[in-house]
Amino acid sequence: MVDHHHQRLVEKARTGEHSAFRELMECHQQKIYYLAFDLTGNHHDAEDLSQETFIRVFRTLKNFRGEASLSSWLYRIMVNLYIDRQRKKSTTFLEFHEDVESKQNPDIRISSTHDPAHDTEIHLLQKHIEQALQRLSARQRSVFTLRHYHHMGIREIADTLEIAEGTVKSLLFRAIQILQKELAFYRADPDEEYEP
Amino acid sequence: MKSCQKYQKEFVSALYGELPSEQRSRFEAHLKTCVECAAAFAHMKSTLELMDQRIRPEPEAAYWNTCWERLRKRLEEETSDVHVSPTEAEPLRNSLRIHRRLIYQIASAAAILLIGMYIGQHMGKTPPEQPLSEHVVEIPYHSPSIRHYLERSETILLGLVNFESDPVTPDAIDLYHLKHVSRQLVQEAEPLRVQLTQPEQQLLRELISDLEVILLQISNLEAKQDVLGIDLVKSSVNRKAILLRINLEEIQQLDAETTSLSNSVKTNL
Repeated sequence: MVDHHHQRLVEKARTGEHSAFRELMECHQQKIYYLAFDLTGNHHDAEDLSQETFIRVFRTLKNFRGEASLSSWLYRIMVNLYIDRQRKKSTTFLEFHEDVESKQNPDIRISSTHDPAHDTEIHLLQKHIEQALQRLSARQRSVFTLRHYHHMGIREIADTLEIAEGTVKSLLFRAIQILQKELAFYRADPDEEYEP
Repeated sequence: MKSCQKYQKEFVSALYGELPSEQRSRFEAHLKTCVECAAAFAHMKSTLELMDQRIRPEPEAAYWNTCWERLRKRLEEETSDVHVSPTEAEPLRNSLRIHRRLIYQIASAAAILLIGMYIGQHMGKTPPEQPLSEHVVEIPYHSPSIRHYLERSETILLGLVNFESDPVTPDAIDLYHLKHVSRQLVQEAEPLRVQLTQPEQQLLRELISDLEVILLQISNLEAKQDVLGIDLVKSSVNRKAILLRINLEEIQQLDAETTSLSNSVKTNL
């Protein structure tokens, strides 16, 4: 039923009906924003990436054939935009450094537990997790985010991103290895550190 | 070994519960017999559990209500841009921009030349030598708070690194005090790092980040003699060459101070 409704909205939006496009956007805006946040790690970039995704959708809606679900199509557009942005960013050394600095994730606000030591620990953990995620390549982070935080199956990710299932598995495996290495100091036994 | 490789390829699917039941049974049976695979799998699992603790902050409530308005504006802007700047106009505009830049450059060069000639003709006397200190590029100093931070961190780390676990005198180290100071230093790290915005301060910024992690490890040590935890801290300090890096920062600082002092002496002479 929902799919039929979406299909009708897509048809209307194709003809330039703004209200239909608005409804489509509002149906998906939360999922899209959350994915953008998980990929970029901060609100500013997440908002920008979400908007760019919807603009791209608006322009290319006529190409949407309805074979995949609309949300898969949105995810694919967003991940491709994100990978493309990261590729452009890493082409210049200066921008790379700027990127690392800006990814300190100032947006994370932890509700206080009235225990400063505990709050500090939580805050640091969040920061270290974000720093570890930043160590992943754009492709690794995309696949890891879709699997771990958006609970998409390996097959589904492969279909959405139009890559082989084996590629998804190896990107995931490598991503977890990198995260493991980056967060090794949280482990009780440091001897089992992964060697690249 | 070969079978291990085969099962390691299944780690990801197993971690996310995506192995078919029959394969899952074989996988679990292998883990029961292979200590290495079991350890590696447990390690990966614990990493994912740690990643589960990530918190995704919610945007302000107003954000969702205003999404469409912002998107609509952006769409309108992009549409109007298309009308305003047709691609045909771009080459012409670029060439005008280049010409204008060239004219400015020639004009600036001519102005500098004329000023130089005027100074040469009308101010024949050799100008008095400028004080040396004005020629010297000042080497940036660390703020006193950063210096103090590094000194205190170094003291804490030296205390731990030089600690030898001795069952006869288990209270040889005042762990309570070290933990307390480390916790304070962890809290001071972020505001200090914010001050370090210059590119030449990149190494110092990284040093403070690494120190923060190690100090957190210290503040999380068990209240009693946590020999294993102390060893972990020691290995982190060695691996990241923390004490050496602190010493290098101190040498640079000393160098900057010596240069500045000698310059001021020369100026006074």
